[in-house]
Amino acid sequence: MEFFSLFYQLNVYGQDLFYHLKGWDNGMQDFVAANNQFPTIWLVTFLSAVAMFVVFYYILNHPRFNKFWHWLIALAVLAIGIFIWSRGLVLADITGASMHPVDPSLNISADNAMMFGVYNAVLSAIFFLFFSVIGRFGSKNCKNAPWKSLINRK
Amino acid sequence: MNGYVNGGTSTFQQVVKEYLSGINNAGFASAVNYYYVGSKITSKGNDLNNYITKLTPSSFGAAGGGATTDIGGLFKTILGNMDSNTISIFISDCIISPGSNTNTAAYARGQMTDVRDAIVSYTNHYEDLACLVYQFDSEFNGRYFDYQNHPRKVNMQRPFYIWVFGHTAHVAMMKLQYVPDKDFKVAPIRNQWIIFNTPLSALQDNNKYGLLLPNTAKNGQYVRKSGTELRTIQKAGDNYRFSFGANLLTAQFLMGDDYVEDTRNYKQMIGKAVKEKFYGEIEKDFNQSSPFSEIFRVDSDSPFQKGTFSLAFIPEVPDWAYECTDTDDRMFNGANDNKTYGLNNIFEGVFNGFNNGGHINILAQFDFEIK
Amino acid sequence: MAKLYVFGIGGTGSRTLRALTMMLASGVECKFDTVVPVIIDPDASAADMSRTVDAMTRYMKVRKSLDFNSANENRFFKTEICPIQDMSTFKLTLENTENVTFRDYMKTNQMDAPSKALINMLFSQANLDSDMVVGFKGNPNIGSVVLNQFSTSDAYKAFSNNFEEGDRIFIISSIFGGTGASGFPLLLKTLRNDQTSQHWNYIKNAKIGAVTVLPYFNVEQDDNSGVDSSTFYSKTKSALAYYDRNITGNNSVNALYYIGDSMLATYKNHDGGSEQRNNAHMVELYAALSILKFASTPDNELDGRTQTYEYGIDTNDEDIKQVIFKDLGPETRQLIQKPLTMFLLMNKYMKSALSSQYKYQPWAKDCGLDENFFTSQYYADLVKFQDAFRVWLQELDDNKRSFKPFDENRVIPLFDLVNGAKAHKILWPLHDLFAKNYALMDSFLNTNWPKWNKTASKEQKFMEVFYRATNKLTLKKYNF
Repeated sequence: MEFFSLFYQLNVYGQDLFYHLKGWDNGMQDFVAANNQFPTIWLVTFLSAVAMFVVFYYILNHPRFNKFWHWLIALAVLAIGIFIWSRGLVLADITGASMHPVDPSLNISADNAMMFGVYNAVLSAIFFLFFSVIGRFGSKNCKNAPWKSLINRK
Repeated sequence: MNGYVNGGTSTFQQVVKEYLSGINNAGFASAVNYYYVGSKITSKGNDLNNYITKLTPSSFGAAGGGATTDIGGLFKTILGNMDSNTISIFISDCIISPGSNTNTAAYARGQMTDVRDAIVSYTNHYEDLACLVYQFDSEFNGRYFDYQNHPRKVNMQRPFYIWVFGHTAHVAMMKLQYVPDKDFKVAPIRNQWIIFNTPLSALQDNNKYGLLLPNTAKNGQYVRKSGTELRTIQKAGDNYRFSFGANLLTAQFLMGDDYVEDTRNYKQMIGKAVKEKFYGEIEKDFNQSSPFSEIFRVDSDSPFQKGTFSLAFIPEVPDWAYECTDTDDRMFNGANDNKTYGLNNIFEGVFNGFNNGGHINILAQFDFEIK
Repeated sequence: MAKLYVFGIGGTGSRTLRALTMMLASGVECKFDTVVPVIIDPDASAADMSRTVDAMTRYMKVRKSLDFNSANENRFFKTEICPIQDMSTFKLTLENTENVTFRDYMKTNQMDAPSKALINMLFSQANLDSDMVVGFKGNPNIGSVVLNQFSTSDAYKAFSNNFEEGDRIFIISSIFGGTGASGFPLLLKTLRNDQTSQHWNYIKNAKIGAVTVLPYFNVEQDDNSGVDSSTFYSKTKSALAYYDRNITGNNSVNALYYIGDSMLATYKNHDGGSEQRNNAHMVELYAALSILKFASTPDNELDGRTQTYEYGIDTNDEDIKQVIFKDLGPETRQLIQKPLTMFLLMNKYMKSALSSQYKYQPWAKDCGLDENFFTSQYYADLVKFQDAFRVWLQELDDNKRSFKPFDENRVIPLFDLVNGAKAHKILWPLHDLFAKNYALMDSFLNTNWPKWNKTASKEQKFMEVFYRATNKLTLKKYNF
């Protein structure tokens, strides 16, 4: 479980939000695994990036959608989607509308939610970039997106 | 001790009777035996009434002998004649009287040593030991022998002490359940102290302690990695600080909130050695849902060193023991009316008995990793 | 490596060779690895000839950069076209026909009186006065005299020197024109009877095929012109009679192919020169097919009596105005439908999509085909050849009867360009489902080809990737 929260260590969106997402239970005064939302968040982020990668490079794989800015469009769609979802998840916790309401002892606001959305969007973009670089070579039409690959020279 | 008894109505007699009959009522002891202790130990049978209510100065004096008894010797006697299934209750004025000894300091130290040795001897044999002491005040009307053994007539309120010795579990049961503090209705307990050598973890189920979240200035600025691991401690206000909570509920019940929250009773450890005293604050945890009973705030002027930080709960001689120690009882002038000559030596002896030969009487320890 | 020498006599010969060049460029299979065209036309400036020579020259230039070893699959430009070794031109020059009247050529002023009289009887004044710079203007009688000088020409000597055992010869001529009608029998006679040239014995025994093209066009009536198409049929009849006795009758050709058409286009009446430029006609295409047929016929089937063939298309409609692939017989379709379609697709992509796509598509980037390549001389030559190919297709379309196998200007949907053939939708892989028109072509071009020759030149790679892509694409889209 530690593995997933490693990706979210950077204190950009608020340490309190980090504790909350990690599953801080005020009664136990400790992190509770059942409340740890990082595995879910990481998996959704990671798998979304993988899905977008597969769609762009192998399902759509379109010769007219294979330039650098097309790749950027795919990246942007992914990042925006993840931003909206992540921010929404935190906001639901703040308003208490979800299964993991925020404990009053923690100081989390809508700004934190937004920053977390941004953070997770950037993370998804990094995953997408990573897969784009290592996994594009089998894509016949898009293998040179985002930039020319040095492998597969004919 | 004669001055405390007057045939039944003195506070001393009432308090002791109340306590001892409470013990009888609780019915947890298979046998109760009463003694007078003077230069020798005299059995007084099993009748509480005879033992205490019908006591008069003369009968008390006859039984106990008039001579002053040395406290250290008494401790040795009592502790030497009991085992882990025995609870011994020792009632005394606990005055250390050097008597004709001119080197009062040396005598006092000797008393301290005797008390210590009594404790050590018992714990070497039976290991587990608790020492509980209550301080009461009672009318004293009779002959008072000062530290030089010169008597004079005294009629005033004077302190007396009830010591309880026994296995920690038994003593704890007595204090918490069988004859709890609130049952002392005749006279209030002025002070009390308990010391024992069973770690709290053996006495209570939940020994949880853990770092608190650094979300307020009060708690400090750091990153909580887990209950016992923290990183990047930063300055919060004037100093570096981190906070943790711990469950000391049983200690609270046994020793009182004030004692448990007295920072003097906590020391920072390096390995098995005591390094320095605890700098910080302790307060009660008012969070109902929290598993902790106390909150500790650990302070430092300079950055915390990386590595293991250990805080140990090592009960010390309480302040009141020193405050109630008289250094010259040849005259009661108001300031020392309710003090007992050389009292601190007895307490130090008990304390040293529990912390003897390099052994440190740690009742609870809180370890943290600072990275 | 046996060679096929193809003599194209006159305008028809040139135009047939043009059709042959286009087909070979598109990769139509020829069983001979090398074709050596020789154009016999005294009309030095005939536009048809120059167009044909241009096309063949450009073909050679493009082909020079290509490699046809087993590592490469490409068949565009596969067959080698080259002039006779030691010759720098495809044209067999006729001496003494420039700026000379027929009379002067014959040197009638040096003849004695009886000879002169004979000449006057055989040839009209007009004939004698005609200058031959533009050929024989539909007068085989003139041609037959002038063309007799074959065997002494330098070109013939070079031809004979390089002729080897196993090489074959094919002769294209029209039966109704001037040059062709006279040249064919003369040439044949020379080939079979000459014993002065170096390898005359190989030539004498070589397999010779010929296509004789019967009338398929009219010219407009023009009294000032020496050409009159109303005489085409009569000339045909007399020529055919002659052939029967002296060509097929004595088995001097091993195979003779006949082709003609009843529906006649009418061309402008130019009696030669740079204005005799007739549009390509499908008859010439079929005539070119006879060359390929001859090339693929094994030796043992060409022994003995002359084999005669007549070409027909496979339709019930005698008045069919526009012929498409479906109207051709299965053998022809099998031979030319796929290569021509592939070549046209390549052509269309190069014209319409390449300039905007080569910077981005993997097929170009991976092969290193960059701006330098697309501005190179090689590419320019290829584009010019492609342009000539399109012109040729357009002319076939515009003619009567029209041959219009492609709707070649079609843009969307691109793959409806083969008339009469339904393009299938490609459903798998998914990305080919989403890609349309030129994008689909890109998708095929971008395929990761197995057995790709990494060491090939850029020119080769370019051709290779287009060949493979259009090969696969036509298979998937049209199933041919």
